[in-house]
Amino acid sequence: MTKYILKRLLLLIPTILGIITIVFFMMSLAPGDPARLALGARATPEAVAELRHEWGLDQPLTTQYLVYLKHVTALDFGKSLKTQEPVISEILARFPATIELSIVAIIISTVFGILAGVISASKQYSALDYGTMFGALVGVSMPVFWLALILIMVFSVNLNLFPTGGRMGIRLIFSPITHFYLLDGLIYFFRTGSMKYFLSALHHIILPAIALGTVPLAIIARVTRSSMLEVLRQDYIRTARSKGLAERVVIYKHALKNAFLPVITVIGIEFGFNLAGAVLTEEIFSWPGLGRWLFSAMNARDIPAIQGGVMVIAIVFVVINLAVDVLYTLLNPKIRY
Amino acid sequence: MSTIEQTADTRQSRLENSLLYENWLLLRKNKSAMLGLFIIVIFILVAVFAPLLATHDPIAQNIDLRLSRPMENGYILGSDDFGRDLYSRIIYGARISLMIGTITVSIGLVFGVFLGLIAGYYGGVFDILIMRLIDIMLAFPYILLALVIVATLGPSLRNAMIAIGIVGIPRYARIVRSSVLAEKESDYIIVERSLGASNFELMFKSILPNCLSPIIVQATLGYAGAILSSAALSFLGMGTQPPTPEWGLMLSSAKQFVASAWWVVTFPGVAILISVLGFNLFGDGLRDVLDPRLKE
Amino acid sequence: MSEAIDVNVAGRKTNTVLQMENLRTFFYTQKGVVKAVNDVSLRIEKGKTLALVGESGCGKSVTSLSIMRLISKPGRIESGRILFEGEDLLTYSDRRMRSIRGNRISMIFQEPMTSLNPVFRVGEQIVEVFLTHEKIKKSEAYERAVELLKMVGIPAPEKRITSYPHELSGGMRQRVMIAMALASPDPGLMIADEPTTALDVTIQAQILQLMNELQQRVKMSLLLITHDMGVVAETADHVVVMYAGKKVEEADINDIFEHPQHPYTVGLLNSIPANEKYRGRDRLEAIPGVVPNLLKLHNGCPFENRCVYARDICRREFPERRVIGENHEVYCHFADQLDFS
Repeated sequence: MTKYILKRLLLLIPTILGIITIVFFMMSLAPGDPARLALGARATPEAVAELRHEWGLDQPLTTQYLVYLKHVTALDFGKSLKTQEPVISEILARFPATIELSIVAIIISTVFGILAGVISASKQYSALDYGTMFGALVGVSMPVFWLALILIMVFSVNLNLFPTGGRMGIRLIFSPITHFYLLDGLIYFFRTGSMKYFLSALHHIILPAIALGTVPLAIIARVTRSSMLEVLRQDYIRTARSKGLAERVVIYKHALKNAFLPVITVIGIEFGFNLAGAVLTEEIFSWPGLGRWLFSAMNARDIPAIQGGVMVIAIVFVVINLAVDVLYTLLNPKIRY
Repeated sequence: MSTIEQTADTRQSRLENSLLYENWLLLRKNKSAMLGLFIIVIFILVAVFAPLLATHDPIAQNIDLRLSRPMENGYILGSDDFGRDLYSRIIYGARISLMIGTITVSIGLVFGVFLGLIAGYYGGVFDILIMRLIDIMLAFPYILLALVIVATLGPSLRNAMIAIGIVGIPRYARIVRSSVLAEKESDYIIVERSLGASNFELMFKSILPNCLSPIIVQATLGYAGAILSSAALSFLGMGTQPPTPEWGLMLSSAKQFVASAWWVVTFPGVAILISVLGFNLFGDGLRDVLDPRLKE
Repeated sequence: MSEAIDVNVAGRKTNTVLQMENLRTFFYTQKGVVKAVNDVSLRIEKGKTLALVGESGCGKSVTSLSIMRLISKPGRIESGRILFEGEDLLTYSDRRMRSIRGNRISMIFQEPMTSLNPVFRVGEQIVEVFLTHEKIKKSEAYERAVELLKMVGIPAPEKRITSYPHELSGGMRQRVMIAMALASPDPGLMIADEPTTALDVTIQAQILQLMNELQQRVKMSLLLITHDMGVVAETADHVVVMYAGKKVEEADINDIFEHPQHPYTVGLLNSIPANEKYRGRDRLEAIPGVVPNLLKLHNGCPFENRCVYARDICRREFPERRVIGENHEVYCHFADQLDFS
């Protein structure tokens, strides 16, 4: 077992190396001279050349690559061209926002998705089943950003139930501690006895979480349903029924535990996608997370920021996938490596 | 031609017809798949006959009549911020989406199938290399990879299509590779090889036709994904550039009108939803019909 | 058309644990109606073993599942009565039926490899039966489970009780299934559907012996479903032979072996390698032909297309019931004219 995990961890290294390499070379392919871009159109050739030298851009590409590699392993991603801050700190500052949003979204997706899938499977061929599955298909066919817009239009603007963006009420004076606002809200509750920070954070996170979580919900529902159908066909389900167990026990205890395994894989993968693909939702809800930051970096051609951001996201994605695989083998009593 | 050859020929073609026909009959029973097909056909028709169906020039602006409501001033679905007819833009948008879908799926399919064939058939070093490459590509969440490629090449419709096409390659490669691996050791391959067929002939004439079903399913679903991805890229300003009437692009400036002009926010999204739904419904139906066959 | 209860057996009515009358279970598939059980009646006496015999697909499994009312779509129990200790199970509510399952009527299945839930420990699956039907503490349930495992001959039961199914061999798993089926203070009827078919020959003998012993000990009735006449010879008191959803012959164990009257029964007996009567012959006689397509049955005797004695009437009419001895009945147009001894 530990051998398997070690093996996978080792395989991680060439993959990460590959990611770093691709990101580096892609950025160097990008048209435009970063130095000139940074200095502006009116910069003198000498100033540009000096900056190029300072940044090591006049070195051969392979040397640049090795230098870059060295920096990356020391977690030095350079400085953002826009803000002059170290990229790494920019990333770390925005990570919690994205993580928090992704977690809330995946909780919503998991709870409702599994429920929908189980109910659909246990009432196969009923109107409920067809309706749910059609709904799931619609969910998967919707552009996330459009869903976000519609949610805002209906629930924020017209019904005034939810705020249109941001993480916390603007008028609340609030210094984040963990940068996970929901957590911070609870901490404030213990300190001040007031729930308003927690509630405000919750209020702000619901709509974006629903938007972000809808597609994974649909996918989880579909996978749960097909996994459950597969399991419900098995002999041991017939045995369970022959023992006189209530149908509810048969489905939620005997069937679900077996059906759960592929679902867990999907949940993990979707969580990874959430982390990485939150850029659209973050844009619309003005959510100050990693995706939104990366996107504005792309617009500003802030090369170090883009490199750093893409790399971090990709690596996190890969690590999550690895964790999902390991979790799968751990949970499967039949596979022992 | 002798009678024997003639009967063999008719039997052959009748066999092919019956297999296809059989699949078709099965598919027909699946109502949601037929709904999907219906949507797809409408989609294609709208795209092809756009000039006939549109009421206005999709890029003609009319600032005086900007943000007209649906059915006002002769704009069936209203007009946008520049006074352009939303209905006509959506109609022409079908054209753009059809083109995007076709090109991206073609890119993914051609390269993906090719890589998959090589990896599966020749194995060894080729397989390892290609699979490594695929794994690295899959290490990126696809939106991110597409964004990076477009950011590198520069935002434009053409580059967006290239990016989406490239991102789609791994899926086809994997499908083809596993099919090839499964078929490689089949009896008929051994027979044909002993009869002197070349590698090329074996790959393309014998093995590939048998992998067609999952490829077709993936291609259909690929259209759905392509429309969504291109909408996302355009929305972020990384794909189609104005004034091209691409559905995602139409939504990118829509946020400001959430309170004032609901039609600008709603209709392009509905267009995306319906077309993607059509491809998904049909693709799912195809998969149901073709898959249990494979299990047999 | 309900069958009159035979005068011979009237006196033994009170000893009946299960009486099935004219059961019809049909499956409504896309391709048509499959009459899996087509007017079958049988009776199981207390403490005795009834063997239900026939080839695969003849409806014997469906019969047993009908008793347990575990028939699911597209199948449906059409008509008939299943009297368990005098009351018709088909009139029971779902809730009442569940109190019967695993408690008064239990079942063990053919595939021990797949009949146990792979993600739960063996002990838990047995204890579950106790906890569902009785109000006892978990610790007491576990103690009784260990006792059960001992009773079915599993070595080191206290350790085995925490094993997962995949850690046990096929024979052991089947023993666990038997233990689960006995997990009740008052087991009335056990239904065993091909309990030994999926096991090695040596293990088969052990399991059959175990079931015999348990039956004696617990005084339980057993409905044994099998296609193997050898198994029948070792365990059954009474035999019902089925073919394509119909009962074709029924007799006590000795009668069925010594005076079989239906051509199909004879065919089954001829295919036993170890059948004493036919020792000396070099060839096993398989019954020529194949089981008919259950979707396209005619109204006559379903065995007609494979029967060497078949005539026109066999295709037109299903034979009437003919009583030819004590507890011996057969369904054949030519029952009294054919001599198989």
